[in-house]
Amino acid sequence: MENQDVISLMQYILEKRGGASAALSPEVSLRDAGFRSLDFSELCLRVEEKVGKELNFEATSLRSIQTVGDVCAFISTAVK
Amino acid sequence: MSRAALTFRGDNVIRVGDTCRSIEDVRAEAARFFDALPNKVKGKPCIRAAGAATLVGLLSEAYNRQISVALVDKARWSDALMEAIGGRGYHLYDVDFREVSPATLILKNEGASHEHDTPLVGIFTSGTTGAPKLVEHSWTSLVTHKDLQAGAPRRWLITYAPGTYAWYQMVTLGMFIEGQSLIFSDEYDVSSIWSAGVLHGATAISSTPSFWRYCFSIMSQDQLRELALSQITLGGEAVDQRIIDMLQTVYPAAKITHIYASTEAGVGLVVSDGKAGFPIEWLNGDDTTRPQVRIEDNTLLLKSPFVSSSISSWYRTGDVVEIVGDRVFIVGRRDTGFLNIGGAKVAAHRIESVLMTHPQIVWCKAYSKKAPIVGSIVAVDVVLQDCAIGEMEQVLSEYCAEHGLEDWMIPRFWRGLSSIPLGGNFKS
Repeated sequence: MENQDVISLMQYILEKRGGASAALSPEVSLRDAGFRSLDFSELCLRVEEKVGKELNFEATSLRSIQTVGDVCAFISTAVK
Repeated sequence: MSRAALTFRGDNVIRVGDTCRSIEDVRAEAARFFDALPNKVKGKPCIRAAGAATLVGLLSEAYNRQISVALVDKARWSDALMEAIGGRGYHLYDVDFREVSPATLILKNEGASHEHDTPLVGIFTSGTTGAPKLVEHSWTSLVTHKDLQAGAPRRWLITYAPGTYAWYQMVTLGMFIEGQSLIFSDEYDVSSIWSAGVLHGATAISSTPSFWRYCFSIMSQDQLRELALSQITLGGEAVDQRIIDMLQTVYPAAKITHIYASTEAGVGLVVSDGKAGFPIEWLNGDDTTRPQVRIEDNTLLLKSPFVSSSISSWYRTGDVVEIVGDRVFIVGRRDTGFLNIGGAKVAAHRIESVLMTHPQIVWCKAYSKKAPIVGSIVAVDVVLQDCAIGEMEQVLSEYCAEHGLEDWMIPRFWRGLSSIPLGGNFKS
C-alpha cells in the first residue's frame, strides 16, 4: 500500500468527523493533526479491508508512532 | 384461566395456500395420530411435523384430549433441540398423515416420564441468546387472549415460524376466540406470506417490526394498502416510534398494538396508545390478575399470570430499560446489548435509535468490532434508501454528532447491506 493511499485515508477519517483542515504531510505530528487513537483504529480496519488481511501488530512498535510518516511506515510494515 | 373458561372454536377457519378448512376438520385429522400412540408409552409426545394444518390440528387435539405435547416444525429440528428434550420425559415422533400409519416413534427418550396433573405445552426458545431450551406452559398460561373475547372477527396473517411462542399465541387465538381465522403461507418468506394475506383478505397481522421494515423497503404504499388492516400487532423486538408512525400513516384505520413477551415470561405488556415504550405508571402496580412490572438495577422484572410453569415469582427479563419523561423504553439486553469501547459502555440501541431517525436509513444494527489500540470500535450495518454507504458515511457521522452521540459512540465502520437480514420469526 502506497504512503499516499494511507495519507488519503487519514485525511478522509479526519474530514469525516470534522477534524481536518490543512492537507496532511509525512512530517506533521499526529497530535497537531488531531489524529487520535480511535482514528488510528479506524485507519487500521480500513487498511485491513483494502488489503484483505489482518495487520501484523507484532512487527513494529506502536509507541514510536508520532507523525503521519510514522503511520505510513507502520502500515507499510504491518501489511507484509 | 381454567379449561372451563376456554371454548374451543372448531368452526373458526384456517387458510393455507388456496385451501380453507375448519379447525375442527384439522383437529379430527390429527386425532388419527393420537389414536395410533402405543398405550404402553407414557412419555409426553414431542412431535415433528410439517405444514400449518397438521400442526394446528395436533395442538387442537392435544387440547381436546388434555394431554401434554411439544410441537416442532420438521424444518427447524436440530441436534440442539434433541439436547433440549433430553431427560424431560418426552418421546419423539414424526407425523405424516399421508402415510398409512401416521405415527412413527423415533426415540424412546430416557428419563422420568414426569407425570403431571396439568397438561403442558412444550415450546422451544429460539436459541438466539444461547442453546435453545424447552419451556413448558400450561393451557392457563399459554392462552392470553381473554381481553379479545369480545373482539371483532378478523383474518390474521400468520408471520411467525411454527412452534415458536408467538406462533402458539396466534394459533390459540384461532382455537379459542370466536371469529378469528388464520392465514398461513405454504412458504416461509415475506413475499409468500404477503401474497397469502392478499389472496385471503387478511385484516390483521402480528409480526416483528423488522418484518414491516422489510415490507416498507420492498413495497410501495399502494402495494402495502392491498391489505385493509384493522389490527397491527408488533412483538418480538423493541418497537420504535418511527415504525409505529409509518404504519399509522399507511393504515390510518388500524389499531396498532405492541407486545412485550418472551417464551419464558409469557405476555407481559400490551401497549395500544400509539406510542413506543410503556407508561411509567404501569410500574409497581399491585393488580395480581394482570402482568406486573418493576425495575431493579435498570433491568425489567416481570410477574405475570402467563409465565411458564418453571417460574414461580418475579422473572428477571435481562432487558435493560430507560425512563424518558413519562415512558419506559427497553434499550437492550443486559448481557449482549452493550458495546464496550475502550472501557466505556454504550447501548447499541442508543446508536441505532439515533440512526433510525435519519430519513434515508431503512434499518441498522450497531455492534462492536475488534480493532487495534482501543480494543474495539463501533460498527454498524445499514440498509439505505436509494443511496450507497460510501457517499453517506460522512453525512451520517455528522448526523450522529448533531444528535448527541459522543465521538467514541459514532460508528467508525459502516457496512451497507442490500436488504434487511431477517432471521427466525423475521427478527433482525
